[in-house]
This record gives sequence, C-alpha cells and structure tokens, in this order.
Amino acid sequence: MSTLILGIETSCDETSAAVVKDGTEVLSNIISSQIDIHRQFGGVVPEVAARRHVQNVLPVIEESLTASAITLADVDAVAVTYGPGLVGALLVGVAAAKCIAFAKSIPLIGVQHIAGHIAANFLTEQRFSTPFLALVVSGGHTELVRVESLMQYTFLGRTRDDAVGEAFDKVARSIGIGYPGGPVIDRLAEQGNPEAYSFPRAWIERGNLDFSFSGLKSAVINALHHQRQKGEDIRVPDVAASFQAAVLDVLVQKTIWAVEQTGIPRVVVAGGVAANQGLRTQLQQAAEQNSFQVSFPPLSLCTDNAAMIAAAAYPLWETKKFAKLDLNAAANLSLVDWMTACLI
Amino acid sequence: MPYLAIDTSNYALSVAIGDDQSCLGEASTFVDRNHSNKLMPLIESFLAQLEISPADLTGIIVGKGPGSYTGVRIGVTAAKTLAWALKIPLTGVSSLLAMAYTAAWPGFITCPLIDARRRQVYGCAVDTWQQASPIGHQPMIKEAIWPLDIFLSEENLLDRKLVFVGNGAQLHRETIQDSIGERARFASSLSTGFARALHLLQVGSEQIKQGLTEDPYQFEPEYLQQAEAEAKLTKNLEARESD
Ligand SMILES: [Zn+2]
Repeated sequence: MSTLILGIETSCDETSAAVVKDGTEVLSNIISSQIDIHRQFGGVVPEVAARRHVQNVLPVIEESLTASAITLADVDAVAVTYGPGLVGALLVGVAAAKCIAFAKSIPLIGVQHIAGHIAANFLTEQRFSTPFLALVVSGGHTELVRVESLMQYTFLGRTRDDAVGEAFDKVARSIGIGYPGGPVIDRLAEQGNPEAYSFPRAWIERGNLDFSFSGLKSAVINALHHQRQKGEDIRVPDVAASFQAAVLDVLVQKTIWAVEQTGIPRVVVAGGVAANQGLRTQLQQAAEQNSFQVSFPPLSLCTDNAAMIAAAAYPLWETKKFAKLDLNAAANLSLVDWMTACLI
Repeated sequence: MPYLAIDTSNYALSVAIGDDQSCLGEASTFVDRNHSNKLMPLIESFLAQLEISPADLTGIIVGKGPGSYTGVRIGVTAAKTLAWALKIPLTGVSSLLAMAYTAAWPGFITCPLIDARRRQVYGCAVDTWQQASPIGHQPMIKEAIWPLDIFLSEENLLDRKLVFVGNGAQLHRETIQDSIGERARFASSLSTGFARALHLLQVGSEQIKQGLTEDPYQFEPEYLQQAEAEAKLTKNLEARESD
C-alpha cells in the first residue's frame, strides 16, 4: 500500500499544494506565486500576502488533486507548514489543513518550513544516508545544520544579522535592479568582473560557522554612494559580480570548514538561494577538491513549494507523530522547537 | 439536516448547529484570543456532544466580517474548506448584522459598531425589529468603515432612537452621547454586542434554503478596507494620473 500525503505551504508569498507518494515521488506540485503583486511594493507585504492566500488556497489544492488524478478521498494525511513564516500567511494554510483533516477524518501533520527545504533533496533520484550536513540559504535563513536523522537536527552555525537572500534583495534595491534580488544579481554577475570591487568577507574568526552579511551589504551601499557623489559611472554587472563573489566565498569556505570539523562528507543545499548558479558551480568545485559530496534540489524545488512539505511529513507519518486540531501558526518555529514538539 | 455556523471575526468565538426550524445548540466564548487554535477543537467537541459527525453536516454558514483581518480569515478559510471538503453548500452573513440581532428593540434602530481605530468604526444601522425576515435586509446605513462623526450625522438616522452595540459603541460611548444625547441607548446586557452563531444560523439557514450560496473557490472575507499598502499604492497611482 502506498501513502499519499497532501502538502500545503503558505508561509510567505507562494500558495502551494502538492501530492507526494511514499515521501519521495511528486505526483503534483502546484505553486501560485504572488511575486508580481509584491514586486510593486518592493517586498512582501504580510497583509496582502495573507489575503491572496485566502483567494488561492482552495483552487491550488483542487488543482494538485486533479493533476495527481486523485480525489480528496484518496489522501492518507494532510501536512502543512506551521512555521516559521508570516503569521497571517501561515494561518491560512493551517486553517485549511485542519479542516480537511477534520472533515475527512485523516491525520494532520505539522511541518517546519526549513525541514521542508532540506527534504526537497529527498525528491530527487539521488539517495543519501544520514548523517549529512545541510546548508540552508534563503530569504529568511542562513544556517549550517547537522542532520543526524530526519528528526534530529543540530545547528552548527547561523546568521547573526541578515539572511543571505535578504542581503541579495537589499543590495539589488540599492543598485535599483528590481525584486527579487537573488536571480537578477546571479544573472548580472555572470557578465561582471568579480574583482572590480574588493568587498569584505565576514569570517568572524577562522573555523567559526556563523554568518554575517550586514557589513557586506553596507559596504556595497557605501561604495555606490561614493561613486555617485564623484559622478563616476557604475558598472552594475561588476557590482553584482563582486558582491556575489564575497557572499559565495563565505558560504563555500564555511561549508568546507563544517565538513572538516564534523568529518561528515555529505552536504545538501536547501532554500531559495540554492537556485543560484554561481553557488552551485563553486560548491561543486569545492566538493571535488575537498572530497565531499554535494547535492542540490532540482531548481523547481528550491523556492517555497508544498512537495517539500509533504516529503518532510513522511517520517512523521511513519512514526505516527500527528498534530492535533489545536495546531497553531508559529512565526518563529525553529527546527529544534519543531523536533521537541513532535517528540512529545 | 444540521448546518454548522461559525464566527471568529471579532472577540467572540461562536459556533452553532441547527437549521431554519431549530437550533440544536450554540457554544461561544467572548474572549479575544487564539481563535486559530481554539476553533477546530471547539467544533470537534461540540459536534461530539451533539452526536453529529462532520459527514452529517448539510451546510456551512460563516460570519464573513468585518472585524479583525486575521479573525475573519480564520473563520472564512475554515468555513470554505469545510464546505469544499464535505461538498456541502456555503453561505456568508455579515458579522455586523449578527451583532445587530443581539439587540432588536421595538422602536429602535440598531447600530452595531466595531472599533476600526483612528476614531473610525465598522458600522451599519438596521431596523432589526421591523424586519421579520432577515433575507434581503436593507440596512438604513450601509456597512462601511465610517468616521464616527459622519456616521452619527447621517440623515437617515435623524429623529430616530438608536441602540448601539459592539466594542466601538463602548469605546465611543461618551462621544456618541455628547453628539446625539437622549436618542442614544446602549445595550448593556451580557448577551449583546457579540456576533453570535445562533443569529448567523437564523439568517444563513434561510439563505441556504433559498439557494443564496457561495462558491468556496471565490468566497472571501468582507474586510471593508484595502490593506494599508494597497491603499497607499492606489493613492500614489491616482496622484500620478492627476499630475
Ligand atoms: Zn522558504
């Protein structure tokens, strides 16, 4: 007997629903993005996002069932992101998931969003065993995590200020090249000279696995300000390439340190910034030179989606760690909070 | 053939079960907290109490707002998901109208007011006593977000006796009394001023019977206001166009 889990994800600006079979096979993964709406505000507006989720949630769920050629009666469990994220946005998915579980008398599984990003790596052909390391890079997170088992996580390092995706967005805004910043900078960086500017790398200290990006962000903004004052021409691709190089140097070097320190030669990359081509190339090279394995989720599973949530729910299905109908959105839910909640 | 009625749009968390003939029960709390984690456990235990299973339900009625943005979203999302999953009809009723029904006094016009900050209220005025059938209820003052002083000087209300309910009425009691004096009364019984699911049931069951139902895909809360960021954007666009 196979297991069909319906996943629901509404933690930020994508409304998504997916059906995943046995924790590994994606039958459908429908994503309704609000990016065009939030672009006009230069970032995600929580109240606007929550309103759109209310409009989108049922059509997206229905579409995921139709695309999987199943009906709600075939679904074995419903899994939903309950944190971290925008609380108003999370609440919409949580309310919908609870009602489906209640109406159809099926188990409800609460999933932590970052665990979802990590689990996106299980939806590929490649199989790898625990323990492994996860480099989580997104608009809200920059973390190195040791994954002992799929329900056991330890933080090795995390950002002390801005998340990496946030730094990309802020720098993109200051150069005036649109929103979201990550993909635009990645594309421009390919045509620029990464050594045109010498932006700082925040190592904190040798071997330290924490991150800091706010100094880099300020350095970029200051450099641009100076050039503008002097009336100099700014070559945008050079700025993008130099900024991206500074970010990637740090991400890659700290990943190498994490492999060295733990002796675990397997790294999975997770989160929206995992789509960055520069990061993919450099980590791949570093993996070859330092003999560790690195894997990336397919591009379609890097940004927020519900298939990764259904995948992360599967170990909980197997161990019957179900949520109750009082499940609530938790804006700051960490991997560790989640583990603790699940094991009670 | 029981319907389930739900309201979470303001401080009340209220559910009721019944149809157009009778109400089997109502469960409410009047504390403004945690509707998100309290709603479904309340529905679950309440249905169990009445020995009704979710599959027995034949319609969902929901207070569609106005009220707290988060509150209306919780109720409306729950209601439309239940209706969709159970394949049963869905209908929405104004949460202000439900509040008005808690104070239907002969000779008085009921004014339910919800505080909307900056001396504004979500409000309307309805003749709840005269109107026997709630269907097609035409409010004397339409539901909107009102600056309080404009609401109080509406022509339709001049020379009428008014009874005010809701947290907007409590908050602005002195202003209202100073403005219209003896014509204003305040319903102070413990059971007034909340959107009670019992009253939603009364209106909503009639609507379902008459086929006035909603498509769960399309159905949205009645916020009565644009999100702040959207309102600003609209304003900026208008300003640019008029330049
Ligand atoms: Zn994410």
